[in-house]
Amino acid sequence: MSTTNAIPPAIRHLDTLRQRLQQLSQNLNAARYELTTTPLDDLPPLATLTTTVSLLYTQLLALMNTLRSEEVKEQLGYMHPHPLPGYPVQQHAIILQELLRRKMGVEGEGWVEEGRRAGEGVGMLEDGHQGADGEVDVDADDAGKTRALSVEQLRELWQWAAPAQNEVARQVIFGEDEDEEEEGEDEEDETGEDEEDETGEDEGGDEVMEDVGSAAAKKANIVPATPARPMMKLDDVLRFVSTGREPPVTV
Amino acid sequence: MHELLLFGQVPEVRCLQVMNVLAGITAMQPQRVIERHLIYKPTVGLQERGPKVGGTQEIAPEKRRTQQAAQNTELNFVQLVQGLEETDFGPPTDGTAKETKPWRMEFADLPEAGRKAIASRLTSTTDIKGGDPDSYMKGLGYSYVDEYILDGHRFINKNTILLLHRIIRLPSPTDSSKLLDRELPALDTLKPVDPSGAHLLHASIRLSDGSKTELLLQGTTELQAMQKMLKGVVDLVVPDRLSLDTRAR
Repeated sequence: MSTTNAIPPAIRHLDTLRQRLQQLSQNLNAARYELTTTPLDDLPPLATLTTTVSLLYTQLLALMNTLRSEEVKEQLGYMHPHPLPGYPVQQHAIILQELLRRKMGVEGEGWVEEGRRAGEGVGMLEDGHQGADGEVDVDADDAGKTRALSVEQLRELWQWAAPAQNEVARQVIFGEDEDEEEEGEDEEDETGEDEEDETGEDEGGDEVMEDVGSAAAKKANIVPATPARPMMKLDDVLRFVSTGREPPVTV
Repeated sequence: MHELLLFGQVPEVRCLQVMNVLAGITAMQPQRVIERHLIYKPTVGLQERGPKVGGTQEIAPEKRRTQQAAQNTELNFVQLVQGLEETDFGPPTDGTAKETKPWRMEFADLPEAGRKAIASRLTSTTDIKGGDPDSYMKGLGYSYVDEYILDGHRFINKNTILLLHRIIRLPSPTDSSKLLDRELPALDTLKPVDPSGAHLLHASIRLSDGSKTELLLQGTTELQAMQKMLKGVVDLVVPDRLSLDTRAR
């Protein structure tokens, strides 16, 4: 407590802001790097994207809360940069100009204006509601008139989004299992075919290889003395070969 | 002679496939190899060795040292090997006595320590031209321990010998006096040591002189190239050194 008391509140608020902005910019950079390094016609895995987005969302929310709090607003309103006499103006003129600037840059103004317009329409989280998307959806149903997206539009959006997202999620979560099952079924089909028409058809090289495997497997099935068992350890076999020492009995 | 070697294991289901792959790589038909291996254990010299006396500065007399060296070389298991054909198994079919195939004596030392990429060991093979190999071995101070049949196929690629084989157990002989000439049961009735029926792939390169560095280096490179080529087909690994330990204790 003593340390926080010793630091003037203005500095403390600035430092909090600085931390929030730094985290945000770091994560934005990381996200951008991720997007640029993946191949053009491909996106990073969905899981990564979701994590990144939720992280950015949390950090933006934290930043917004900090900026919103009355105390900080007040403090920031008072603040003025005033360079000390010792500041190397000639060397760092650009930084100084940026610091002394009271007005936003042209780009920044554009962004703010854009955001304001979008925000007015949707009115997301305007009433202190800071919840999941579901809540927003409920809000939209309650007071759809004030939103840019009408209830109809929102419903349309969700009708499209829910199945689409479901499909993606299924691929991500169950994709491998499904593939494996399908492969297994394929193999079964192939062996089934082999058993049915032994004459065989002219097929590609890969198929021939698989035929060899299945033939050997069939042979293994036919010979009852050698059921499918795990292989003996190489060392044990070699030990027997070298000195006639009995390998341990495997059941 | 020196042998550089790597081992791999192939499950029975994949044996035919691997054989096809090897035939493709080596551009040759597989050569059937059936060998009967008799394992002999040294008996003389084991008791005389005794515990090692450490820390002495005494210079041993020349005679004792040579004796010790001779003893040390004799303290390994040695094998009698006979190349066979499929017709050598089972009871005689047309009444004619089977021709006895020549024997040879094979010795393989413990692989050298400290080699990570491949295993290398000293080997020596002596062809036995005549006489009774079993009594010869007994005379040298060895006694019969066990025997097995090596059944497989051999491929040669440049300097590399690829031997895809399995080890089959032979039942113990009933009459020890007719050890070498006994009638062998039919090959189909014998059971492999590894009950899963998996085959071993023994990749080796023989060097005439293991002390020549450039020869060793070339052999190592070639064997590693083979290991790399077979990657994904068979994993060739350096076996545990002690699993190839032929020293008698």
